[in-house]
Amino acid sequence: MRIVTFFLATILVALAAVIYQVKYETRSLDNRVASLQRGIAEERDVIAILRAEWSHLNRPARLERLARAHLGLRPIQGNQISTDD
Amino acid sequence: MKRLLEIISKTGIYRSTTSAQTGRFALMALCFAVVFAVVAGRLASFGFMATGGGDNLEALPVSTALHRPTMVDRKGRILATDIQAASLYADPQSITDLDDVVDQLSNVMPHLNTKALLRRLRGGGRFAWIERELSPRQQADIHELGLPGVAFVDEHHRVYPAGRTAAHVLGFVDIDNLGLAGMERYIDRSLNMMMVSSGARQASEPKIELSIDLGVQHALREELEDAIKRYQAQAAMGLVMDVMSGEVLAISSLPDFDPNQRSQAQDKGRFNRLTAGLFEMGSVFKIFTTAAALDLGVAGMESKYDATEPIRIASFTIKDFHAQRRWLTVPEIFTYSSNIGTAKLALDIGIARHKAFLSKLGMLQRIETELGETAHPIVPANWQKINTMTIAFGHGLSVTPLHVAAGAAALMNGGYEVTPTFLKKKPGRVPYAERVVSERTSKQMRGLMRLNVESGTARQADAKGFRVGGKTGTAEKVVNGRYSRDQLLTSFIGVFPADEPKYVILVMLDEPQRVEETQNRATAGVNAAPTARRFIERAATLLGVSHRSQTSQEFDELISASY
Repeated sequence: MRIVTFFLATILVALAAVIYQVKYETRSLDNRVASLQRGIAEERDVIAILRAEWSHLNRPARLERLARAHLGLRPIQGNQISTDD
Repeated sequence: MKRLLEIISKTGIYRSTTSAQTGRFALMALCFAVVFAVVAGRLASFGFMATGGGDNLEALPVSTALHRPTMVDRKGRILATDIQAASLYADPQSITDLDDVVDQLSNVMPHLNTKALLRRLRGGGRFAWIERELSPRQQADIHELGLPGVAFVDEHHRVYPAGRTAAHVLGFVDIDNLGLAGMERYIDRSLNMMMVSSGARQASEPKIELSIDLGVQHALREELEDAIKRYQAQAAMGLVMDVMSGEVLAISSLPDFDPNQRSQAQDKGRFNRLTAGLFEMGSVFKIFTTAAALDLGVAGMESKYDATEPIRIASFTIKDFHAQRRWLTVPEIFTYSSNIGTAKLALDIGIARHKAFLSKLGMLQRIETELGETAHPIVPANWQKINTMTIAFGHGLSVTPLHVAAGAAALMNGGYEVTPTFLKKKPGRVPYAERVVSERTSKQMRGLMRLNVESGTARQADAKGFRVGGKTGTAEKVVNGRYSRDQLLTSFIGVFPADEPKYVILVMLDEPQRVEETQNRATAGVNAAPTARRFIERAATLLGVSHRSQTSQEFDELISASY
């Protein structure tokens, strides 16, 4: 009887320890998830800024100015187009 | 257990230990044990349960401004998007020395209005904005100061990467990211498009696809800017619309504004003249009169009208600008832009039918678009014979340029009603669109438009290879209650390619001057028409219109038949 009692008490303590550890592991994993999510949100924000900048640098007005200055290109004229119909 | 019972019995609570009493006590103990076991089990289960990531407060950055969806053009290029920017606020009650804090802040932000800020901070309360939308540099500098009682909050900040290129369509937002005009206001009004400030960006954010094509939009704006310079005009307007779907591919009203600069956007002179401006459109209105006459069977292509003498009615004299002083056929009335002939056509149509036709084309009502309602046309309260005669050639009825473009698109596309839209649509005609004129009338009108570019007043609009058709109009502006001979509003309404219509184009110039380039003339044929030509030559290929040296044979026959 005493052995059984002792045995059960040991199991109880062991289980408590396991639960305690698992709980803390979960909490740290939760924190990791949260920090990763924050990181993702931050990355998305940065991507949004980069996209906006990319669009800003690729705006037709700027491209046209650069093409005129560095490539010697001009808007197309009607007489530059021909068709073979 | 037995021992436990013995101890209990010795305490004298239980004087006798009958077997019945022991049993009852054991039952009680069991009950307690079960209850404690349940409590312990529940505690353990709480320990195992993962706290869900969704309602984890730590994952949500603080954000006050609303998050708005990104707007892209029809080819996916970004026109408006949100980026993060820090704003600075203060809790005045936890600042001991307000003056010192404000002083230090103004070192970092020299433009700061210190007096107003101090007043705000002294005004009580526990929250006051210091500065919204800081640059990352400013944020770092202020952080360095290490001031107590001031803190940052991340906010969404709207940016328009293309600047002023499509300003009037996009509109703009206020400092709290609420849409005040254009498509921004449309997003606010259709609530389902708004995303509540969750802060964290979603992986698949909805995008709003506009009908605008950024490349075409840029070309149109550039050509209008060029036209203002060339012809020394006050303002210029342009619009390109898909004849089938009513999608507006480009719309520009100069002067315009930079949506990134809020203060500029509310400037009075920079409103969208195409939807909010009302104009007596002049001769471009003849396309509607001619179409009405052809569609109602009042006149055929070979019908002739006497344009020898000006018409005198009441105190008015209706004269021709390009007077021929002879009988003219319907195509001649159109290509010589004869006011006399068109007025007589309208008389043959009759007041009631003329009015009904214009109403069917939407010329007498507001147009509902995503940008809001257009201005309401100014329709004569008492529509008399004289009204019908002058409205026939575009005087006495004020509409917005958008009305004219939508009406022209309906005449060109085979005769179906067109509702202008600024959202991208699936290609093809709107399936439930109502018919306003017959297929035959539409074809004849296209023939007349092409004829007018080949040999009429719009010759300078002929972008070779793109088979442009069109009608010019020169209206005298009303100044101090009189029509002015010098303040003109010139316009060109065109279609290309005329033999298989895809787009209508409208170009309008406000008060172009008589300059050397136009041989000291200022009529639409020498300024609005060539502006349209330059734009079409530049943008037609972007719009997917193929270059062909001739119109189709069938179409040629149609035109030659109208001589």
